[in-house]
Amino acid sequence: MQTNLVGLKSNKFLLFCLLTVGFVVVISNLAGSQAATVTTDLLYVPVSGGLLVLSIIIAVKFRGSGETGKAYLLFVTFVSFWFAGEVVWLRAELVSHLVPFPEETDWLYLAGYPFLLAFMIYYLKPFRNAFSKKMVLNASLATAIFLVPTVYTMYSFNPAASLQGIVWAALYPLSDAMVLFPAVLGVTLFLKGKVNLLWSLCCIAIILNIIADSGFLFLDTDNSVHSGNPVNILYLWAYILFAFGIYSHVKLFIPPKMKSFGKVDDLK
Amino acid sequence: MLDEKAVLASKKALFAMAVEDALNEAGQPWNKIVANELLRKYRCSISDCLEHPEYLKDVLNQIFGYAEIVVVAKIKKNLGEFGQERSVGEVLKVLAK
Repeated sequence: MQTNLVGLKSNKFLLFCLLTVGFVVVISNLAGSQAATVTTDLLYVPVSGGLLVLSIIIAVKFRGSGETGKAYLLFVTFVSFWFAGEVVWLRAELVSHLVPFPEETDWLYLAGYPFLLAFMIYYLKPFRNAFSKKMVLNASLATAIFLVPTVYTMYSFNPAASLQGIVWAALYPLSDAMVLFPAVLGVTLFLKGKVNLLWSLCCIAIILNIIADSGFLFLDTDNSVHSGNPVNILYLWAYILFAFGIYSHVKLFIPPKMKSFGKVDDLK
Repeated sequence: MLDEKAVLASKKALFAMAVEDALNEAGQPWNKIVANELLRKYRCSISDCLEHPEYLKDVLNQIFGYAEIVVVAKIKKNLGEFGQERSVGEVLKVLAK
């Protein structure tokens, strides 16, 4: 875990990406809600598109071989749904000037969750014999820690919202909590391993999504939600963390550099 | 002398097959990842780990973390009777440490 944290700290590019995205969204918010909406909507496409490209690269590397290969095909499907969701949202809000909730974008986002869950199940399947009761208990506790306050928030802060609104808004944090369980299992299972970076970043990304979804649920009560709201930073960060997690896996395929002995005569 | 070399070579090949098959359930490319890591860190191949099991142990741990125990268990299962041979038994002991 410590080595991973050191690895995370040293990953200056990840930090740079997170800070840049955060800075751009905050600055655009200072310029007004319209500017923030346009900037944020435009940011989602390259960020989620980058994740899609990386996930296609890793899926091609694994060529559907074994459980991990199948897992990555499912991950590509998950990211494709979310990327399509971002593109449809961008078109609906900036071109058609519609606010589509709960419309096709929500269907696309929600359709992605089962594939994310299936990705985790398939990835963990070959290592299922290493699960201990303690690991399962820890993952259950971590899930409950996020799920219970979310359910509480759902009922406490939305007395005026329609039942349909509550159900739609609650579906997101509940789906997040559902995928958090295998993510925490993965983090504990691959502890200290290079593979752990992917699982740690996925886990943090899911937690960010839970916080952001709960934030939207809360903001929805006073109608202060707009597409450029700074809460979006968390969604964008989640995409970046997923992307860096996948990149850490792609890096495992890089063949080692063989040191040249230079002039062979010098060795004699 | 030649016979000894031939026996060692066949043992190494069997061992490499057991390791590769253990990694195959998760996906064939894991073989490449493990082989890459062995080459990067120890300049050796999977079959060479019959003589240096601590290298394989370290690389499996470095990649899979705690889940390494599952891969080691599969290697042991794949080796079957061959794993009961004294020299191979020592290798399995190092891997299971």
